[in-house]
Amino acid sequence: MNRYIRQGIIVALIIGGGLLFRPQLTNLIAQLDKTPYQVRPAVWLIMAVLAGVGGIACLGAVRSVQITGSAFTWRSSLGSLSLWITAASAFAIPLLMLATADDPKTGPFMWLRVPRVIDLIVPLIVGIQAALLFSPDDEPVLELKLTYPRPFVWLAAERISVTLLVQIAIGLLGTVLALLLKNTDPIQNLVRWLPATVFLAGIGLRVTLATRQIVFGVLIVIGFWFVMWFYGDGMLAQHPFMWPLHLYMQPINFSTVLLGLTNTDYTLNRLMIVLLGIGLMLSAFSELRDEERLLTGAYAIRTQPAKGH
Amino acid sequence: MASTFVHAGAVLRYEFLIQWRQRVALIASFGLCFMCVLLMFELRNSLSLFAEKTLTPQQLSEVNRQLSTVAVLTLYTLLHIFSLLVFPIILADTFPKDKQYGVRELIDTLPLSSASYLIGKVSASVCSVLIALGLPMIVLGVGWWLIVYPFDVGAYLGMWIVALIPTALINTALCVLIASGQPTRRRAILIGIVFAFGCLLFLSFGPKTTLPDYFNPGRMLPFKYYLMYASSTPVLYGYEDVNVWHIGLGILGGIAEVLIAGVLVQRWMTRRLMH
Repeated sequence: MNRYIRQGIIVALIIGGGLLFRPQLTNLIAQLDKTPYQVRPAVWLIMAVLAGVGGIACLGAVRSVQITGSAFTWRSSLGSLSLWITAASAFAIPLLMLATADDPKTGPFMWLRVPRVIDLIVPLIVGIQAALLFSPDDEPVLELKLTYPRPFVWLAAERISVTLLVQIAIGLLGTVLALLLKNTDPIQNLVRWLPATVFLAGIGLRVTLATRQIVFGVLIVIGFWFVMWFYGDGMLAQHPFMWPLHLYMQPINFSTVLLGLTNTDYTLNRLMIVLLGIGLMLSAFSELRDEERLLTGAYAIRTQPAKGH
Repeated sequence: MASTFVHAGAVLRYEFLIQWRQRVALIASFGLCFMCVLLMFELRNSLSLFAEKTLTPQQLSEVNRQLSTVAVLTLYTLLHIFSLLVFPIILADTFPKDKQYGVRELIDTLPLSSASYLIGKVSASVCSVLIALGLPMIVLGVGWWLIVYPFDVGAYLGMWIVALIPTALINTALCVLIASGQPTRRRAILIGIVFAFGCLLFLSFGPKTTLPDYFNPGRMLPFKYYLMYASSTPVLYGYEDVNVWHIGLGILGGIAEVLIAGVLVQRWMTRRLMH
């Protein structure tokens, strides 16, 4: 069956099922809103699956390095980073921190506070860079790169690792600056921005590779960032059971306690976001194994062996 | 002169076909429709319509129509931010695409003036944005009328035709022109991102409308108008009222920016061809 027809049938089944069981779904959502901790078992299950897949992928990576040897091209991957964007994030963080150091009540940054400057900038920049890193349609000499003796996945893995390392280093410097300026807890600050960074990197890479167009990856990253940054807390206030999906969930405070959430939920949320990000990256890497799809944009046709053979 | 427009029409056709087949504007349009539908259902729950028994049915209907109109116009601020962020980024690669596909050199050998090429390319982006915004305009309007409550159609169409569509068109055309000199699509999209976020930074406004506000790339005047329509906060803080004339002048300011950018890019292209 054609891939698009298959996807269409799945979407139609989801929408049809949703309409058919609408009263039951509404009741379930209302019940979960009152007791958001009930989604914890599902979160544990998803996390276990993602951790398992991540573990298997790690073993595969180790084996691949053992077989191929250390054929890394770190310097070339570093060159694929956009210097402008990296410099922009390195300058924007201290500038915004200094601009918000005395907690402004008016002006363009009255909505921003020092501890949240890093989670405003670093995840967005990483997401955009991940979306720009590798698009088969825009990759020069792709055919040549596919002939390298090392697995092609390494190219994307190296690039995303370099991006993450550089931006995490910038984020860590920002965390130290926040500690100096406002005496904020560095671990708490790190836990605020690191999961969102990994998630947006994963989704940027995944969407660009799936659609073969940089622009879709960039748009999805900006969309997620915008919605979660500005409306994430509103989403939580309206539907508290969606706590595992809030990219910018803040440490438990008075208002989140009122919603029925605890420190365990906060920890699970952070872990879940990181694992989802890693899962998205791994699923993006799996797209790179199909060389025919990489070159032509079409999936390889799997012919059925004739009967009797 | 006539041949300039005939050539521009040909460029418009091929560029529009490329953009249509890339599905970028169409997917942005579906995304906007999805956002409108979600917001419609959210606002339907929070909109409390009048049920006062002392009013006649006609009065009650009129009051509720006004309430529904105010509620639908509150969506403007979000739609404004969406159009500032999305359309410039997705269409920033309109010119660099030709270079990346290797057809720019071929186009340069044709008897095609740089003005025709420029007008055709920018017009194709304008057409894509018009189609991408037309669909959500209909979806939101019809959906709101049927699902939430009837509203003042004139005010609704005014929001789209006088404020949102010109804003999106001006900023997209500006971004397409600014990114026209980039050698690759990747760099053009980067320019688009910087431009879009730069425009967002310009969205803050003061109590009084001053001359630079008419040329503000964040198209602050329609934003301020609908923000004041939706919320009484700026009025409480003594912010000066913005009317439709301010919006019109702001749009004219934007058109002037596009024309200036167009002339500069056309001069640059002609000079590049001569050397």
